Amino acid sequence: MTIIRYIILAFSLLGFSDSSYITFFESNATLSCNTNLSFISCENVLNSPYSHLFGIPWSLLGMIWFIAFLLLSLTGYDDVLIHVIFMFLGIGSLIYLIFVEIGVIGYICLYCTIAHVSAILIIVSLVYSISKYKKILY
Amino acid sequence: MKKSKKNNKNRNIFIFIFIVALILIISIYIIMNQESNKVTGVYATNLTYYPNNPIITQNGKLAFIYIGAEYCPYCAAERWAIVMALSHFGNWSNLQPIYSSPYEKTYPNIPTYTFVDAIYKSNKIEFLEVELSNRYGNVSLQQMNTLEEQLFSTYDPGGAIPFISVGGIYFRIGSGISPALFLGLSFQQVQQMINSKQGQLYQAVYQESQQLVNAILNALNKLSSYITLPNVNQFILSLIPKCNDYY
Repeated sequence: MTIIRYIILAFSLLGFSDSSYITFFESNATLSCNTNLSFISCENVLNSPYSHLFGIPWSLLGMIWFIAFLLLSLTGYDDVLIHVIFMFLGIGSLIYLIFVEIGVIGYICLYCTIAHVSAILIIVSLVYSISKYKKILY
Repeated sequence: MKKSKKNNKNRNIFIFIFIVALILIISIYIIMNQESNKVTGVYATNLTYYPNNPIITQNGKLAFIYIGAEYCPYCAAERWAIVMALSHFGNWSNLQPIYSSPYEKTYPNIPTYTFVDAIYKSNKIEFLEVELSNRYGNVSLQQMNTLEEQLFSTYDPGGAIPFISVGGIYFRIGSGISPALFLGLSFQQVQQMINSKQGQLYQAVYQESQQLVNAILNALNKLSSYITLPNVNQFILSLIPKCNDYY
């Protein structure tokens, strides 16, 4: 196993656990305003209409994305095309979600940020692998 | 050739486990969502009950404490249920219509009442309200007293509003109604929808008000000063038509 495989395995596991937590527990946050004025508020982010895509929570889509990379790294299936497809889906979603959090809602959710950072590290590892070795180095 | 065979095997394993995982994740999500919709969704969840707490009274009456702010859309949604619930136990006057903050990005301009100058008279309930800030969140309106501050810091350390305490034994942190139901509506439109007694908005306000009524009745039943009720459920039902009087 290469270091890239370890990185993808570790961060897809972290991202999957984090997304699962948001999907099944944190999304039922109370409907409330926070008097402790802070830039960080998961409630404001997860209660916003932007937390769903066509009725599907982004966190659930995140779970599916992370489990795909978890399985790819576990099975060692190194097809570049499938990695690139998932990578672009991830990049598009990341740009949209970070823009919505900062630019539209005006709050940052820490749990979401953990998932975003995990996704970025997976993508960076893949880009490095493809650009340097012209393949997924499992 | 050997590597290609191995890769094909890996691909098949990946596709198989991915599909199984996908089905599992979606199934669990659907099951959990169905369960949570029974108690949450846009409708009222149960209030938190502390049966061993001493009942808080003020001037010999049950203390109903509300802490919120005019800018807060969640407080705006909850106020409709508070007005409806408390109207069963006393009389409101000087309830002024307002809208929550226009700057709130998710739920701006939610129509509601303000409790700042509202007068509530009841011989059973003492309504203690605190609107912390104005509609724009830039002017402090009312301050919490010692009792309110103590309850707020103990039961709501995160500082979430609206905060409701019914006699110090029932607590509601946050709203039981989603402000999404009120988006784009005027104050008059909400009044009409509640008076029509139909639709999702009415159901949400009604169910939340019933949560509050039940909590008040249980708290009052614990107080010896309250009238003896032969059947609490029947009593609640007899109260329902009164809702219209205050909208």
